[in-house]
Formats: sequence, C-alpha cells, structure tokens
Amino acid sequence: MTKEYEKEQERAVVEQIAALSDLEVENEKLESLTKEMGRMLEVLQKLSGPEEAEAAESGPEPAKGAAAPDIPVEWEERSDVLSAGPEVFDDRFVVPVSLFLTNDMEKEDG
Amino acid sequence: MVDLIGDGSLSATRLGEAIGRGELKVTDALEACFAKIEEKEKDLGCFITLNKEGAFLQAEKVQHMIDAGRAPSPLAGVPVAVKDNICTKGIRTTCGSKMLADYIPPYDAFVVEQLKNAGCILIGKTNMDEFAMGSATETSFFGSCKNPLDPEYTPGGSSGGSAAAVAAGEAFAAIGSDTGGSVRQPAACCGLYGLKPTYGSVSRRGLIAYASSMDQIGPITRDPEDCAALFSLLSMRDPEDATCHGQMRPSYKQLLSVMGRVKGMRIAILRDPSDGKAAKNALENLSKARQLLSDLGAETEEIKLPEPENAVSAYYTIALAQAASNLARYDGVAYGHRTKEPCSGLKEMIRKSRTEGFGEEVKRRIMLGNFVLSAEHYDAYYRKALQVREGLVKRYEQLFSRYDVILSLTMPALPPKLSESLRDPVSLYRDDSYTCIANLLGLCSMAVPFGSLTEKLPGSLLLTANRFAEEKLFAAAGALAGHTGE
Repeated sequence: MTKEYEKEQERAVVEQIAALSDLEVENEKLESLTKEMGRMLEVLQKLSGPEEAEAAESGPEPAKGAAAPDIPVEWEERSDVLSAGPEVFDDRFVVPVSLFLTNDMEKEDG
Repeated sequence: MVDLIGDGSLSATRLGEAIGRGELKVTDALEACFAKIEEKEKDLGCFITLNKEGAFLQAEKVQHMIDAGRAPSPLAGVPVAVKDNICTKGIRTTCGSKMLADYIPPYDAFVVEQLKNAGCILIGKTNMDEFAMGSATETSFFGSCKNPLDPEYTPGGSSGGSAAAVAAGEAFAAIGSDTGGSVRQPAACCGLYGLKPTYGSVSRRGLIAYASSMDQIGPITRDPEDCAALFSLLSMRDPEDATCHGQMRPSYKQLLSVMGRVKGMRIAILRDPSDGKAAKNALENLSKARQLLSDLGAETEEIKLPEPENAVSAYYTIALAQAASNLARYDGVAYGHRTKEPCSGLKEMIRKSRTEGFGEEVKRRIMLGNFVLSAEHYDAYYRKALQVREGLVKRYEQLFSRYDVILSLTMPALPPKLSESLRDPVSLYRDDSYTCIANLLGLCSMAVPFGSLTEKLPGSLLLTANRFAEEKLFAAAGALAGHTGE
C-alpha cells in the first residue's frame, strides 16, 4: 500500500464517520481533522487487553525503597464520628440540608 | 468588613456569618461582586450571562428572611456563580455552545434549587469549554477566559469561568461540573479548592449531559470550610435522579470536626503517572506535603500504579462514546440551533444545523465517539475500555483497603498558555491522567492549593478517596490548608 493510498483510506473513514455523526466536513479541513483524529486514536489505542488488566489486579506496587507498614493502622481519629450512632447523623440520611434549615423553614416546606 | 469583601479574601462561610449577624447586608456583598465584574470582566471573560436584576430581587427576599430571624442557612446571602451547563429557570443556559445559545430552561437543576433554598444568590452563569469538552475554557462559543492570577495563562477547564470568577473576587463560590477533572483542574490553576464528589452523591438533574456515567457537580471555593458547606448543601438524595444514591452523607459540622485530623491516616503518595511530564517544582510541593502529613502523624507510603495511561485511554473511549450518544439529540428539531440555510430535506437540515451549531472540538469528539461505537470497532475500543474500567475498579478496591487517601499532583505542570490548547488540543488529553481516574471509577477527589509553580501561579495537590469517603478528603485537606509549601 502506498502512503498516498493509506491517506486516502483514512480520509474516507473520517468522511464516513462524519456522515454517521450528521456533520459536514469541509474539504480543506479534512486533512487536519484526519491527522488529529489519528493522534486521538493513538491515545485511545493505548488500552491493554483484559488479560493484562486482570494480571495487574494484585494491587499497586510499593515503590522500591519505600517500606510498607507492617500492621495496618486504623484511622483512629474518625472513629468518634463513624461510631457515634444515629444521633449524630439524625435526619441527614434523607435530607442532609435540614441541619441548615430553621424550624420555620421546615414548617413552611412541610 | 466591607473592605474585606472588596479584596476577595473573605470566604463564603465567613461572609454568611457576617450577614447572619447583621454586620453586612446581602446587597453589600452583591454590590462588591458586581463592582469587581464591572472592573475585570472585560479582560477576563468569566461569565456568559449575568443575572444582576434577578440577583438583587433575590437578595431583597433573603435579607427580609434574615431580618425576620429566619435565615435559611449559614450561606444565606452569599453570591454564587453557576457553570453554564447547569439549568437555571428563566436564565439562559448555553453550555458554551452556539447550539444552545438561546436556550432558556423552564426549570432549575436540583443543585440550583438547593442553592436557592439555602438563600445563596445566583449572580450569573459562568464561561466554560463547549459542552464541557476541553481543559482550558478556550473552546467556548462565547470567547475564551483568562486566568486572573496570570492573564498569559488560561484558567484551566472546563469550569474555567467558575474558578476564574471566584479567584477574581467576582463571586464568593462557584459550582462547576467534573467529567474528567473539570472542577479540579481549573481550581488548581486558580489557587482554589475544587471537589469532585462521589458519583451519585450529588444529583445530576438539570446538568446538561456530556458523559452520563462520569459527570458530577462540585463546588469551587476559596477555603475548605466553604467547600464542606457547599458539598453538604448539594449532596442530598434526589428521588428524581435514579443515579443519586441514598448513602448517608456527612454533615457540614461533621466535616468541620474532622478537618486536619490525619493522625493514623494511611496516605498513598502517587508521584508521577504522567510519564515523566511532571514539573520539578510541582514534585517538590508533593514531597513537602508528604513531610507535613507525616509530621502530623499520618502514615505515608509511595506507590506506583502499573500502566497509568490505560486509565486515560479508557476514560476517553467511554467519555467520547457517551458524548456522541448524548449529543445526538441536538438536531435542530427537538433541541438546539436550527440552520437558516435552505435545505432539500430533513436529513440535510439536521446535518447543516449540527455543522453550524457545534464547534471544532465537539465535532472531533462526536466523531471519535461514533467511531469507537461503530460495529467494526466496538470490540477493539469500547468493549475493551469497559473491561479495563472493571480491572481498575478491582485494583482500586485493593488500594483503598490499604490506604485511606491517595495524594498526587492535580496537574503535571502549568496550565496551558492562551491559545496553546487550540493549537494542539490532543496534547492536553494526557494531562487528565491525574484526575480522570476518579471519574472513571466514581471516586471522590479534591484539588487543594499547595505551594507555587511560578511567581504568580499556585501549585495544587490532588486528594482521592474511595466512594462516599469525602470526610477523609476534608481531613487531609484541612491539614494542608493554608500552607504555602515553603
């Protein structure tokens, strides 16, 4: 295949996709658009196959030289919030904005 | 106090408190904003539509409630700007496009209802990349927007108008939308806090869709307290948005109570997923932040993610496919601009209307979206992108079983200079490598100003946490807040 032929093929694809998208492409813009779409497709094409994605499921790798913590550290400071029970969250489950509202507003709304 | 409004240093929550105490009138704040708009707007281009008359009418009502001792919220009377892809009843909503240049929505978006209920004053609709497609606010049909901190640069995008308005003192806070970093990147470029909440925590009703599985509305503010207040206000369950989750959300008071408390927190440090593109001083900021968090008692550990570029590729494949579907509705019949040219039939009329109505970047993305969805390429692109997304979900589940928060840069380097993004739009795609993962996986993520990149432009760090773990973001953001990185 000559380069000229390849270019023509690419332009034909862009024209087809433009038609599929209900868009007109002016002839003078076609070349630059084809080039840009080619570059964008390069970005999209970096996708690895699903096999590689699954292989990588073993989790993130600690960087070399960085010591992983031996024992997982609990975030102790937040326990008072998350274990505080419903009285802290009260009616915010459904209407979080209610803490902002005055009683009068609630009456008006209700 | 009035001087403090004028110099842009007063936060939204402090302004709300001052108004609530009667030290300031709602109109004082509004007049200060419109004075700034008058002074700076010609050069900056933050707004597409101003709502001056409506704002003063609303201010009168809110002031009346405050005077009667019935302030609807601590943010009552605070002037807020809203991105122009969020529907506002009776106020033009253009999405930065010729396609919707005359569209006046008949209803308010859920988040706009929430702002109005809380007594916030809507001052105008901010400039944005057309249909939120861009990272520099330069693809807007209504002209580009400049960065108020350094006018040689863009304010980032696509919510660049929102961020620039807050940074310039034209608004006290703003609302944007984030599909791949569109709240966090402009917040980073303008030295502000920008939150992309967990997918499903803020209703998307009334947000004009770009990529429906990744769009999320979030606040852009001057400090983390404002961000917490607005997040708390907006993150309410909406029965009219099926994707809006019923999960319990932390209240404003709870978020305030955890801010800065990082002792025992496990923080993963992600140095450079952008293939060595990160600027040296940006990486120095990251190191300083790590040291600061360690000094405050957090456990920090550096990690590397295998094949980070897969996330960008999967993100763009899915986003463009969804964009092509979402934007198919703009045909000049049901929605959008209709050509005035003579046409031989319906098909030609639709084609001409779409050709005239959409800008170049939107056209490119629609065409690519249709390309990856077309029968012969569906498996090679779209299906594979979904599989990669699935793989990443599992990988990040493991990651968040070991760490509370991931800390990285928000952007690898400086924002694009003016017109740079128009000359080479594709080069900006890879800059999304830091931010787009949160959208792809529905995580929550927040840009926090830290240090500087140039004399005028600030640095920014990105905190990312698991779904519905916003309180962890605010805990870490509180620890980093106010640090210059020196």
